[in-house]
Amino acid sequence: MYGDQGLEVVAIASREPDEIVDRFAEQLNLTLPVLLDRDGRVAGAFGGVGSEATAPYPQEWLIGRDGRVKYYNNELEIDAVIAAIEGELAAKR
Amino acid sequence: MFGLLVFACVAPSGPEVSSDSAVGEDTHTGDTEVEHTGETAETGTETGSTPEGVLLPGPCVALEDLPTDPLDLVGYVSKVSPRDFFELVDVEIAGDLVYGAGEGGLIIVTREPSPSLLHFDRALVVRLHRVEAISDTVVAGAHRDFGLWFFDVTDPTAPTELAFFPASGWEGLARVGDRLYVTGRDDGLLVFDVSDPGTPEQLGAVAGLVAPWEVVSAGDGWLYVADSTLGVVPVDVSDPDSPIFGTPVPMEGPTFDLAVGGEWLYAAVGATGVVALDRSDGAAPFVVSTTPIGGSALSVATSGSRLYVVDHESLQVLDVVDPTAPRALARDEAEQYALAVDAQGEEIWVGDWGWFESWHFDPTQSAPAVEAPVSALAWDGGLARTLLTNRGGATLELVGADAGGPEVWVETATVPPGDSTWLEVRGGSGTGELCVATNDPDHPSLRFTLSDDGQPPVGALAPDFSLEDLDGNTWRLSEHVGDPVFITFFATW
Repeated sequence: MYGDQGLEVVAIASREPDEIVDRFAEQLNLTLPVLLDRDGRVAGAFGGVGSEATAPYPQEWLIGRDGRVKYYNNELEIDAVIAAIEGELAAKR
Repeated sequence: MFGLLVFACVAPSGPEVSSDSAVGEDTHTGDTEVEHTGETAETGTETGSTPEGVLLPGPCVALEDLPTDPLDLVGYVSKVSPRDFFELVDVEIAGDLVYGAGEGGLIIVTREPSPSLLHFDRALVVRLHRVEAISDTVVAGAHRDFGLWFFDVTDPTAPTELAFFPASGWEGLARVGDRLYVTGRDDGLLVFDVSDPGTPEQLGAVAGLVAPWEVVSAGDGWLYVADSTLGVVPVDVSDPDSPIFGTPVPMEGPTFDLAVGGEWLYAAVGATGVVALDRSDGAAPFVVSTTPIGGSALSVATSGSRLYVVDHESLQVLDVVDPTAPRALARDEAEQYALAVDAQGEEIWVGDWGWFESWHFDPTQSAPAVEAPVSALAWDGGLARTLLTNRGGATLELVGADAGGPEVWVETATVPPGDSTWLEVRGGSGTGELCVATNDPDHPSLRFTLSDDGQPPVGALAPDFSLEDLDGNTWRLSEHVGDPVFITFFATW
């Protein structure tokens, strides 16, 4: 939706076998990049305990143009997410 | 007891330093121009439970002269294509080859420091849980839901199927002379005649197991079964075709694997760690020590006076010259998940999620190995705490720390092998980063994030990472600076 305005969107699966993620992505017809965090280290860096992600799914993060965290959420609050994305896209490069 | 590290420098405006305990060695190298104060203090007046400790001085500067890590990854085979992963749950050294059981079934590599992959092919059998060499040319493999295969590996690049026994619940394998013993959840212990390995024959079974994972032979008429419900189950096979179960030794956790070292038996018991048993009476082994290893002990191997264990996060080496008191020697972090281990002498093979790895342990070297359970610390009432454990064979020294302002205290800055110290960052809140300088060659600057909830907070730089996508392409966050990036962590369950 915002892809042509320069928003990069990625989905990350942590500590799941490649094949299961592959099938899941196929079933949902996901066109965005699906990244494989096989050992959970990236989930851990974003707030898990060691290499175990303890936050409930889904977990969303918006990283700004400057590489800094702008917004994060553990629940799917669409309006808040959209507001944050639009705010960030509007910000000057 | 612990030696206390005391610095006798006095800063112009800092507090007086006084010491009423033994002076430890100043082990800083080359930073004489840095002013620092250190004190031992009782701060029990602040809160009811704030204990004595040592203030780690800033800055967090890595030492120039670090010991050599005795444990090294010397070679590995990784996946053959982006979609493949090994998930090796069993490995066995056999002559010039090393066999693995995992995704892709029977995985065979050359037993060289830089191994070559000889066989990895789902067409033969999709996956296996256990392998056992039967002879120079025959290998057995078990899948816990489908059954037991025998393969001809005369040409290790192209194994062929010799025999298949369909079954459910068969997994553990131990070859003893002309017999192969197999553990089964429902069937108990099965006996196969493999005097002609090309034509194995099922002889019989003795019921009496609940949740067996593996069986090992002690070579003297005794088998031991790792059963995650019963514990360690001795089996008398002095009459090879009539196994007799002995009295199980219950374990405090799930028993996943066993290794025999003469009169000693070592069990990998999950979060409980490694349990050593005295089996001088083969029928009645008894526990002599329990050693937590930080993670969930999944697989053990022993060679000489050394014990090798993997626990998802790491490969560890313990000295078991005295099995009643195993000593930490080394620890290195796994490449992905370490699931299985086998060893001969100082040659160690590790089955990892993604890699088939060859490691080497150098007993002439000794280094500390710091382990912290988490890398993201959360403030709790102005304090951020973690435990640091030394899983290496040399004393760990915490030589400095920097948390961007708040003081960093430890119980002790000198941690002997196998011991732990708490570390506390005092009087902080919000975003931050903690750096701890150590003499661990793998972690000269140990880093933690500090935040109110253990997550990188709004405003902090997002942690950079690079991961592969489903097509095998690498995606790195820092390559997308300039565009907003929306990341969603999801699960398929």
